[in-house]
Amino acid sequence: MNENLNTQSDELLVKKVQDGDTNAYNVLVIKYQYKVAQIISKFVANNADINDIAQDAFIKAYKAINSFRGESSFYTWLYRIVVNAAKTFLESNSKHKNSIDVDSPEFQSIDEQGILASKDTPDRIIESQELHEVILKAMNDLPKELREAITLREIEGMSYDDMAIALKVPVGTVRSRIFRAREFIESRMAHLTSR
Amino acid sequence: MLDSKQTNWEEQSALFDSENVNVDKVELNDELKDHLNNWSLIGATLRDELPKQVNVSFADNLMAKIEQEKIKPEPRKVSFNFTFKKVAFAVSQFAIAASVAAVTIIGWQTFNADEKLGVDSTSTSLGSVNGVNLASYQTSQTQKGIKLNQHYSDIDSKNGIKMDEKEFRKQQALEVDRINNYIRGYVFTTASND
Repeated sequence: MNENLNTQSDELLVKKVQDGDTNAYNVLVIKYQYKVAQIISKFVANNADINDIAQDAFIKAYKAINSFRGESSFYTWLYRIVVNAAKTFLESNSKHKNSIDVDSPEFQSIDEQGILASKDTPDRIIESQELHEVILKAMNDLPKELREAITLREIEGMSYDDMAIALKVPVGTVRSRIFRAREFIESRMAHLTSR
Repeated sequence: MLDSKQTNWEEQSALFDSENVNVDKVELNDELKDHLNNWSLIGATLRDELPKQVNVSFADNLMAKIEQEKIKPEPRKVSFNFTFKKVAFAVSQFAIAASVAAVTIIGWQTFNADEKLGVDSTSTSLGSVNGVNLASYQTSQTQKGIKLNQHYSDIDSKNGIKMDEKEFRKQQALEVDRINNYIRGYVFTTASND
C-alpha cells in the first residue's frame, strides 16, 4: 500500500523534474536517499564508497529522468540504476585494486597557499544505532493517538483517508496527528541532525 | 488554535505523504529541507531501512554538485530499432493467433459437421487431396491432434473417387503431415520475424 501511495506522488514529482523543476528532484533524493544507501551497503561496506556510489546513481538517474515512462514505479527504476552503479563500482575497483594514480583529483587538493584543502562539503555522519534508540524512545513517549497515527502512516503505509475511516476521525485530524508526532520526534533527535 | 506557520508545516507534512499534491511548483528552503530530511529519517528508522552510518548532508551535497557541474537531464532518445521490433513482434503475435484461430475454427466445423460430407464440402481455401479433405477430419481432444473421421465410407463418391482402407490410411497420414508442416512452417516463419 505504501508503494502505491509513493508511486502516485513520485510520478507527479518525476513529471515536475522532466518539466525542469530541480526542487522536485531534491524531494525525490530526500525520500529515497536512505533506501538507496541501504541497497548499496549490501554490495560494499565502506561508508565513503556507499556515499560515492549513491551519488553516482542519483546523478545517472537525474540525467536519464526523461527516459522514465512510468512503466514501473520510480523506485523500481531507480533500484536498477543503483544496483548497476554498485556492480560497476565493484568491477572497476577489482581491476584497479593495486594501482594508484597520483594524477587523479584525489591527490590534487593543494590550494593556492599550498595547504591541503577539502574539495567537498564535509558530510554530517550519524550512527543509525543511536538514531534508532532516540526515535524508538520518542515513539514510546508519544501520546497514544499520535503514536498510532505515525505507525499507521510510516509502517503500515495507510492513506490519510483510510486512517480516518480506521480511527473514526476526520482526515484533518489524521493530518494534524501525523504532523504533531513528527514534530515531537524531531525535537528529540535535533541534537543528532541539526546543522 | 493553530498559527499559520504550523498550518503550513502541516501542509508540507501532508505533501511529503503525497496527500496534498496539487502544487504547481515545489518550493524548498533550508528549513523545509531539514524537516523533509528528518521526516525521511523517522520513516526509514521505523521501517528499518537505514544503513549502519547515515549521511544527513547527502541530499544537500548532491544537489550542490548538480548545480555546480551544471548537470542536466538528457533528452529522451527514440530508438527506431526498438520501435520496429515492437511492431514486428505485435504483427507476428497476431499472425500466430490468427493461425491458431483458423485451425480451431476448422476443427470445430469438422467436429460439428454432418456425417455425410461431400468431397466438395471443405472450405475452398484449403481444398481437398485425392478425395480426402479437411472436412473429413475431426479434432481429437484425447489425442491432442487432428485425425481423420472414422466414417470414411460416408465420403461422397459422386466424383467416382473411392479408396480402400489401405489407401485411405496412407492419404490420412500424408494429409496430417501436410497440415502439421503447414502450421509449423507458418508459425515459425512469422515468429522468426522478431
